[in-house]
Amino acid sequence: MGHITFPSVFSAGDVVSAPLITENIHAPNLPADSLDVINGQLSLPNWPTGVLVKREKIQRGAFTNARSNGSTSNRDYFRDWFVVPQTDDIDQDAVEAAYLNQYISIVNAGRPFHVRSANPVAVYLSWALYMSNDGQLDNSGPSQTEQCAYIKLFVDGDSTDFSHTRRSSRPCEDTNTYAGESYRRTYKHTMANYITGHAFIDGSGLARGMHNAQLRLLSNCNQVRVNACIFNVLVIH
Amino acid sequence: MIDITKPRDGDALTAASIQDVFTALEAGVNNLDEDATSMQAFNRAHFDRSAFRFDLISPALSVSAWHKTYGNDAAPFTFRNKYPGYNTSSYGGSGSGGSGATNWRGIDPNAQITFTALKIGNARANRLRGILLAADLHITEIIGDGVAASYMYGVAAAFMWYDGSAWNVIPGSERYMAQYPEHGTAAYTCHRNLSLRYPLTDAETGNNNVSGVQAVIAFAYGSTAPVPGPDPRVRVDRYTVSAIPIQAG
Repeated sequence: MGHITFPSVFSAGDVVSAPLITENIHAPNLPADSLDVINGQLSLPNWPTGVLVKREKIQRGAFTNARSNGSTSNRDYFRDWFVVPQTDDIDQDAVEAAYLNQYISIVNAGRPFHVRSANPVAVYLSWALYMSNDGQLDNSGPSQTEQCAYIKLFVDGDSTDFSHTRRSSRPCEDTNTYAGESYRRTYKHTMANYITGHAFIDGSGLARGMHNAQLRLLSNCNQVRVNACIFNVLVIH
Repeated sequence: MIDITKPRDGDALTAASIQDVFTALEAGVNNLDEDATSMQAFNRAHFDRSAFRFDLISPALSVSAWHKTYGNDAAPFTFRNKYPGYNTSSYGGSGSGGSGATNWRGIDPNAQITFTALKIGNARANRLRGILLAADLHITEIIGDGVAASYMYGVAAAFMWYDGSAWNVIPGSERYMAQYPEHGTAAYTCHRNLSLRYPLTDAETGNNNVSGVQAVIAFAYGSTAPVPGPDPRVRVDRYTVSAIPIQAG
């Protein structure tokens, strides 16, 4: 358990004074070196090397706080917002880069989270999302082989470190006919898609206060439908 | 408990006798057992990051060491190895390749999470009860190579752990997805995600050391479908793989 070394040591022949005794009983020093540790003054320097503290001795929420956000509803996103041409197959990093500022937040696919003190150990984010197609989506327009929807994580509006989270989908049924492609392109169920993901954020440099994690969408499809999603945040302090 | 001899009335108080009391007090406080503290006695102010025993996996793992990511569609990983069958630990290395082989391949040598050998379990003094494994793979191409597009082909993925001499598959972590494949040399892409989540415990590792984990993948097709051409393959252009040591109790 906690380790202290009294500041006052008396040897034979020393003059014992009240202040010196008080130093051992109560002294507001850091690290705590008096009997004050019994009153809760124990701090990090008092721990012996290699101490293992049992979980039940630690207050709930002392090191972690977690939140979750989930919803089921049809969220339809039309291409009015996006300027990505339908003749561009955006399934390429280079094409995506040109339209990075077109990503739009998906309603309820994300949530703010609070960092109690700067530089937490890490923030763990996980999500699952279902992009549905009931066969009634607007599939008109050019070849759907060039239509695509991206889902990607943004934290505090930035996706720089989250390229690995980008997932693509072709949410529209293809009404066109391609030689030898008819099976794959016309099966509705293949156009629906489950997308799951997770990410760690190294807490170094993460400021104290509120932050925001969101899944965002970039698309050049006529219509994209997000049906269900859950988004979890775990902050490890 | 603190064992102290209290001065009594009439005792002569000298520097030495007072020091005896403080010496006993100091030793007593320092020898208090953890159980002498009340439940939930400690909060974040009593610790710092070192209180998190991620360093149980020694050397201490930074976030980047237990979280591996990749995202580059210009340089995807392409796997040609065939699924070896359920609960089969045949392993053929990591990264693109595997033509003609029937085994698992790691998705990327850089995605292996390795650490000094340790044991997992409820009885371990290190209190490491398990390692939570997570992987998300973005599958962007499944090619049967010359097979008509009316047959489904698939992708299997799983976790493997390293015991110091061999990689062992975790059968409960195996996941599978299927899609009508591209055929011939068509360059169309598919858009699918394979997700793995698994708590690695001593149910899998037993009394063995564990010194690494990784996600593995294989091309899969059923016996009723025509055998793919000479170069069936599956492509992965993004992944997220994590191993989170869980200390408890």
